Amino acid sequence: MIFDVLIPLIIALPLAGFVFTAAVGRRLGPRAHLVPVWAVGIAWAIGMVVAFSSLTGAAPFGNEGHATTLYEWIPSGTFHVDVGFFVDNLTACLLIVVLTIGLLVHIYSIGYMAHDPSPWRFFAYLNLFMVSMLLLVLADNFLVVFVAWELVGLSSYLLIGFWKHKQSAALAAKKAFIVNRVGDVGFALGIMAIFVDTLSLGDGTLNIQQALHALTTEGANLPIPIWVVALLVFAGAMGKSAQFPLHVWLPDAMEGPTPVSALIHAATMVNAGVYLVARTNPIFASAPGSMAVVASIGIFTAILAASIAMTQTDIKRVLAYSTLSQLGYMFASLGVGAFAAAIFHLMTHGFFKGLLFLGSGSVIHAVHEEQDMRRMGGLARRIPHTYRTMLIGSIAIAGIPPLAGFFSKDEILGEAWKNGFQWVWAIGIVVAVMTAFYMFRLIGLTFWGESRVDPAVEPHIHESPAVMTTPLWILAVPSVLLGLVLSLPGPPLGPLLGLQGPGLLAGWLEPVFEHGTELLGRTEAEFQLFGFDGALLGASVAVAVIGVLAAWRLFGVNLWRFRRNPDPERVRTLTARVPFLYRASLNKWWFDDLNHLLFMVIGGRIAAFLWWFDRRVVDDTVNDIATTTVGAGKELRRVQTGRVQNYALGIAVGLIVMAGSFLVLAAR
Amino acid sequence: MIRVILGSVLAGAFIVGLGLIGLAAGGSRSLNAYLTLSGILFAIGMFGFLARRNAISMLMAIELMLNAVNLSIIGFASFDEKLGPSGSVIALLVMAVAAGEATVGLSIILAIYRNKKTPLVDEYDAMSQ
Repeated sequence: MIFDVLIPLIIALPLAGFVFTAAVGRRLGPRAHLVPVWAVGIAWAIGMVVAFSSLTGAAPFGNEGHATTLYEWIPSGTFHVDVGFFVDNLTACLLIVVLTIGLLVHIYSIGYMAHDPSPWRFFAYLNLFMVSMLLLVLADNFLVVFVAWELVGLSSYLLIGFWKHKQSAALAAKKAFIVNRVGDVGFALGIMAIFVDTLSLGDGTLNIQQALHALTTEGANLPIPIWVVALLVFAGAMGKSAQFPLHVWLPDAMEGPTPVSALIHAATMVNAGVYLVARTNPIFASAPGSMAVVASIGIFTAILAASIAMTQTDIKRVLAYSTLSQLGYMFASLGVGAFAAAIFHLMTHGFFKGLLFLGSGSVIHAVHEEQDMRRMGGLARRIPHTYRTMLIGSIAIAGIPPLAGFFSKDEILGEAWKNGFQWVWAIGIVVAVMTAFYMFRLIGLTFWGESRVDPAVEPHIHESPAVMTTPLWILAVPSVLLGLVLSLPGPPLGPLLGLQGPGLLAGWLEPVFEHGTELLGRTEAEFQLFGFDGALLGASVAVAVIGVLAAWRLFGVNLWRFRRNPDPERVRTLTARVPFLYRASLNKWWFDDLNHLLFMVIGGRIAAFLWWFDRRVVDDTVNDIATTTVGAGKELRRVQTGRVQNYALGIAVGLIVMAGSFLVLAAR
Repeated sequence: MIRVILGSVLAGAFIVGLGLIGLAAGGSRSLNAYLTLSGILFAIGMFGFLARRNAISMLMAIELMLNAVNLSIIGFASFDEKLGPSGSVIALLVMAVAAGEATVGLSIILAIYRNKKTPLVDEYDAMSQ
């Protein structure tokens, strides 16, 4: 089959690009980007063919997806691991996001890294990341997924610390790697638990489809309960997708170059957790308690991160907390059983957040590596392409119809209410207000109002080259249209236009989530545009508008006919009215300080004590035993004179004793 | 000269003494006489092995002990009909082993002697290291 060749090729091309660039890239100098970009470009073309073949249900994909085995990796008795790929509609959706944004980021990086002394290293790492991420979404085996899981962690580490001479970047890379490890332990245990469980049902397998089938259909008598498996897998997802309390690494990861933030820490890698939970949805659906945990942690992360994003002044950190918040939405959606809505948001978010990050990179580029929004302002006329595309991205994420974010966010909130999680809906609505607010605060501070740029830099502000603005415009297209396209002909707009059936994406993903939804016992209620669903829809739009207007009131607006100057005085009085909340938000709810206290201060003390214990108790015990043995040996060796006759005397005495005792005993 | 005479007298007295002990134990018709002689010879051999410092003397003492054992075996064999010829066979076997043992022992002693330049075993303390 042609696809058995094409699917491995999607991974092989970036891998070849990575190996080539890592080996000889240094000598290519400023042309180092050619091979990696073309490798990803061709992989993109192949990936689109594969993805759309799967989405249209062409042979051999059909509804159930197509598995192809590359080779046998570990054949060891009952433990058997193949390296193989599995493409179904979920994989196809992820392929579209990963490859499209990956390719655009590669192109954008040509411009962004033009002045860097070693672009070859950057492109080699980027290609390595593409390999890892594609392997993660394509692999059909938990163990291979785990390998890819670690590989994306590695490439993320390498790219965050790309400017390794910067102390803060090196520390941030380390932090990301270590925090991720915490989640990975959970995932590794989860994989072992899955193997133990499948082994108890007959053949132990780590093949994802077989394992999911075995664990959820046989049901009873698993040695490790299914909710434990679900929570362990979710622990891994929490680490990679930066959910509370493992969220601390993502904002720091912004130390990496901005294209990296866009690709890895906004659009693709952080989605790995969402993908994993969606992929293993039957496991979660079999344990409703674990679903509730997922929903709570998701929505809590959403509101926590949104509250922090409202006061941050670093443009990339605002976006980072916004990413955390949106990922929280996705997990909340998974938790309430709206799997398709989560993937919907994953796709739309990937595009508009990728756009916003690349835009912020363009802004930072324009004002000479300045990231503090307090020293920006009034940039709208100076960098018009960046301004327009970022404005589109902001409207999309704020949830204003008909842009992409509105559809996916509204679907999550609506599903949460309809599936009986009203409290998730309520918090989600608050988060939606905050999202709209902080995005337009960002736009207001950066692009509108008076310029606060350093006067020395002011005359040199320039729009980025076309190689950077073109990807922005390309990303702006799905940011506008993707929601509309993917939700038609279904709700919310389908019924209004007289169309029937589920949304395009919901239809694609139906076979993937069929089993999970069945286990949950959800029934699809009819969508009522002029009824209850319409009310929920109206509420989402209303809160988005409220958030936008509040931001305009405080941070100004300069949009077509709407003009208003920023009102810093009012900001000050407002923040003075809620000093605790303001300080909490500014200090990120003291989570970094909490971690410092827990792991550096208290953990450090415990470690110091353990070190003392090891040195004084463990080591000394061992050493004392050794010294005693040596001393005793020294004394005892005197018995061994080395003279034959002493030994012979021993023998003779023994003989006499034996003979004597025999005589005595025989006499009785 | 006087030592040779004294030694011969002592040896003669010893042999006569042995004969007297044998007679007292029941004469040549009695198993006890042979066993007593065997025991005395063994005791002498053991004493020689433990007390003499010269390696050659110790080897000779070993021969003495072996022969004492042989004597008791032959004695048993001739007084117990059930044992029959097998006693003699065992005795022959012991003699063969003794011959071999003497050969090996002598060669070892010679080898050590070449290294240590002394036949006295209390100088041989290589085993203590």
